[in-house]
Amino acid sequence: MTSKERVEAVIRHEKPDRMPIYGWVRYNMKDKIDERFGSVEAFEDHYAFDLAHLFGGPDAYFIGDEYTRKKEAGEEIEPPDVLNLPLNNPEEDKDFDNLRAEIKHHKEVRSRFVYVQTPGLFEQLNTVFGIENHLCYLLEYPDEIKEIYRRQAEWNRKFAGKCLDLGVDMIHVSDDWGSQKSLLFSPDIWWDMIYPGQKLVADYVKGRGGHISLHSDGDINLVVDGIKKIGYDVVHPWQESAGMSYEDFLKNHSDSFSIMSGYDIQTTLGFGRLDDVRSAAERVVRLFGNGGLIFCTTHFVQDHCSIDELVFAYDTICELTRT
Amino acid sequence: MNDPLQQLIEAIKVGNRKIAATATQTALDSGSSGKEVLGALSEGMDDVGKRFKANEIFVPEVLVAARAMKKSMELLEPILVKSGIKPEHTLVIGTVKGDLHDIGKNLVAMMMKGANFNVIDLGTNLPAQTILDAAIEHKADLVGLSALLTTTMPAMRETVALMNKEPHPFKIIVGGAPITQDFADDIGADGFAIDAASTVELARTLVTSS
Repeated sequence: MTSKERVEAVIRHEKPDRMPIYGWVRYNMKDKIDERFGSVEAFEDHYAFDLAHLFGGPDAYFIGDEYTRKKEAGEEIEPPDVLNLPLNNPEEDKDFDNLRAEIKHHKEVRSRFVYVQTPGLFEQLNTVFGIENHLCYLLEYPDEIKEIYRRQAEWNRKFAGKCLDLGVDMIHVSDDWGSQKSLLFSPDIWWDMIYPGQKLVADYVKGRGGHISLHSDGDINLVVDGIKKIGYDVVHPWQESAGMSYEDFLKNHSDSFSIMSGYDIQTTLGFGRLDDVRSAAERVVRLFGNGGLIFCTTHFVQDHCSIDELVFAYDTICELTRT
Repeated sequence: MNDPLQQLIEAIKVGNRKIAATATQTALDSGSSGKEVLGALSEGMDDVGKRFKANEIFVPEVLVAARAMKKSMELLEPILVKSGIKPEHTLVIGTVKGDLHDIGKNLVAMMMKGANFNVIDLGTNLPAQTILDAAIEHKADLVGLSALLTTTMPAMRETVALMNKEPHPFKIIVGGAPITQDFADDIGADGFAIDAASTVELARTLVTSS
């Protein structure tokens, strides 16, 4: 199987020839990896990563003078302000130049499964409002927030369409909804405000023959039924340290979607406890030997992880899945 | 509901800033003491904390309640100062060096204010010495340290170690997504709380026991 075929087998709930492997290693570990391997790309080649996670394209919002003035003056940016902010063109060809080149490289040279990060409704607006204000506005400005999310969902749909035109395999919606022990907001708010826009994007992507995945940290148990209804193919991470049990996933959800998970960066990888790293890898391989999982870190590997530990972690998972 | 104190309690519970301010003013104008108004605020926030802990409400409901309380406090504070009413206990709180995340810390600060603690919020990304200096300067009974990132857990350890180098009168509470009771015990903190509402309970227990 090629990497792409391997990942697609997991998405189709079939048993792949081996577990696909990936990791969010670039963000904090680049310098250490460069020093040992020459580049992050060389590290990814060394471990034959099956996926490429790409970023790029236009920003959603055109930030004008009035917005900048308010931000700099420390004034709250409120939903009516954002309704007056114009959105950039999500299909502007020149904004996709870098992405186009990367997609071509990973697909044609490496035969990888390529997924592109796109903004979720909640996460995108956190950068505009600040998360604390945003959470309050969900209650204080429900009608305006729904309209802002509706506009954003339409923008995301067009952005996703452009990515699919370029040959991307999966649209990855990054939208953190979970806290350590529950959702950040109520399930009622999620169904009322988040679900419609995410469903619009997912239906479009799947209608075009693409795959769609979700990134949400934390405990999202309360909306797993909604995640199924939206039709996500993959959910990343499945954060056991925030109450998301692998056993529960296998028993109740694995027919509906697959997960990307493996080394928990909150509890396991980066603490110098190599036995724990190995145990985590062994357990995941034991539980998901028949599929259902793309091996990955639960988030960016943190910079307290040594390069030796990172190498041990990936040597271990390769040894367990490829020999 | 004509009783303005009862109106204030309800306004805090549902996080209505406007009604909280009006009810506070009406209560004060109609002869309620600063202490009585403060009691109403605490009652409202206690209810919010309990429901949050029981997963009946979520972060937005706590935030709007805290903002309603803040509106009320703007009217109440001059009265309390005039009457010489001060919170009995002081919490110095901040996010440790390297960590810019503050929503958890802010929630704790808001709920502790609601529980009538004097809260000195130092902000985020704080060197250990800054937190220690502030604890001494403000005669803190409690120091609250927050970390969201595993990356900043070592900074939390260093901060607690610096504080525990010399005997001090305050108790240290730690919290944040990657923090556990084991970690808190290991670094020498006096307490760990899993969420903002639990922090209030823990703080009350610690100041009572000291």
